[in-house]
Amino acid sequence: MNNLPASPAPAPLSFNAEPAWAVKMESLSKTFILRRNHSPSLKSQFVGFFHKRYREERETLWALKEISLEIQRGEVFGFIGRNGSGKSTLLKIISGILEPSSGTIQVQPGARIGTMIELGVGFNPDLTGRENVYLNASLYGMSRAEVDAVFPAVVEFSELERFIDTPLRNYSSGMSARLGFSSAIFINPDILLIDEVLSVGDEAFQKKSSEKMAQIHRSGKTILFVSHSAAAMEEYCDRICLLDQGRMVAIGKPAEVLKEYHRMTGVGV
Amino acid sequence: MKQVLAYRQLIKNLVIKDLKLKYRDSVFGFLWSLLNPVFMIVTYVIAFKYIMKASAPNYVLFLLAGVLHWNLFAQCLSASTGAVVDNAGLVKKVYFPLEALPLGAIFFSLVQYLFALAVFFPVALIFLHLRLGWVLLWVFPILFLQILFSIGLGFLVSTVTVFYRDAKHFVEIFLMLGFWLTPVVYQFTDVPVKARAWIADNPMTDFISSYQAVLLHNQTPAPLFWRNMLTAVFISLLIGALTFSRFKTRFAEEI
Repeated sequence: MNNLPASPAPAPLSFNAEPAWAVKMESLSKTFILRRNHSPSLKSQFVGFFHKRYREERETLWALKEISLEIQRGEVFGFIGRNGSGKSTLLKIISGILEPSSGTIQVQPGARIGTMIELGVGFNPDLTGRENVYLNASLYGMSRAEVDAVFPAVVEFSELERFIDTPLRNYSSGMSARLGFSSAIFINPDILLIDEVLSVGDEAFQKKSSEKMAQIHRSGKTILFVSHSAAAMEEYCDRICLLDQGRMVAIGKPAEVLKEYHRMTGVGV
Repeated sequence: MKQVLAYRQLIKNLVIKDLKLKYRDSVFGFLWSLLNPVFMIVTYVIAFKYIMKASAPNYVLFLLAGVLHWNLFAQCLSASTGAVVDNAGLVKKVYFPLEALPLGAIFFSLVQYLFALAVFFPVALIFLHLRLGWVLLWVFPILFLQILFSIGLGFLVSTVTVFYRDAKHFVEIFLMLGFWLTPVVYQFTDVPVKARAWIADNPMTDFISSYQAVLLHNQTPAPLFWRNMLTAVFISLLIGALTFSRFKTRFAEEI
């Protein structure tokens, strides 16, 4: 894994020589076209043709630039960085939701990737908790029998036994987040992507969630983790990577990279 | 395609979700799906049989054959228009084979048609002089081709809608125009010869005429109809699948 590109700040590099990677990226970049005055309708494009004021303006934004990275199987790997540094975009590319603009990404073949980019995103307010769990699980390709097998555990973990047949619109936000977390965890992914969601529910539930995460980690699953919280990073991660404006600025042991992060944000440790 | 098969459960759940959402909290529930064709047929009977004095024999059965299957087509197309954009929350946040969305919309429409068929079929047998016979089974291969045809168009319109929301309005107008360019309420033979080319070139004419041949005349559809239907299926699937797979990776960014 010596192929870190010549980025502005060459990072201290810790690596594991074992080839068993879970995710491997090579000079991966992602650009977005920022559009002002954009609207997906023919009328506005037609008007824009005649009136400069309404014309679409485009600007290229580099959300990720030349990222080369290898994440090992069984590793808990964190991404840290300020808002807009590209963390979430990177998770979306790993999960397959977005395609890289250039460079390559490989994911451990046959791996089921669980995304917790936002909890309960697949959830529909008009369906009951039970119906939502089944729909959500089928998004990950789970069969009915597989869901049947884990459903009691999902309900138990979420502590929503009494409300599971109530439409989600009657849930509090904490309740739907709990259901989201529980159903995401029990789809049994090989690679789990988590974006800022560990702060769900009350203290007791948080404690239970982090125990569950530790258990998943022990079972040899790979966890990729995005957060602003330095404390959570330090607690969970084997390695973390600092992103700034789409570039990889530092990678290594949490303590060292966090120091760099704090220096960058100007926040004392 | 293999991936899509592995996601049967997802498609099934999407269909169940849409059905539940459609009928939950509505008093008449599924009855609404029957009322629509009933009112269409009543209106056309009054307008064409009693006011315009249309002379078609067994006009009500003729209308039923056309209206049910045209409605299936229209429903497939309008449901798949929003199939991707209405599920923006999923597309942007979860990775799954996006083909499931338009396919779900098509099967959702198919299930509703099958419900309606289950009610109208006995009605037609008892009241509308539908003759029972093995030849009626030809409805299913025609239906199969019509669904394939709709899948191709569904892939196309669900993709176009992501980039141009106008597609929704275009589809509405297109369907209205298409309805009158298809022999649903009038017989093809009643059309003046000069205007026939327009109607004969419309692929839905072949589908609707085939249903009419089977249901009204207990005849196997003519080879010409089969040839045209297969061509329509081939072209629509080709264009639909190519468009969808070319643009699907941009969906999450565009919606």
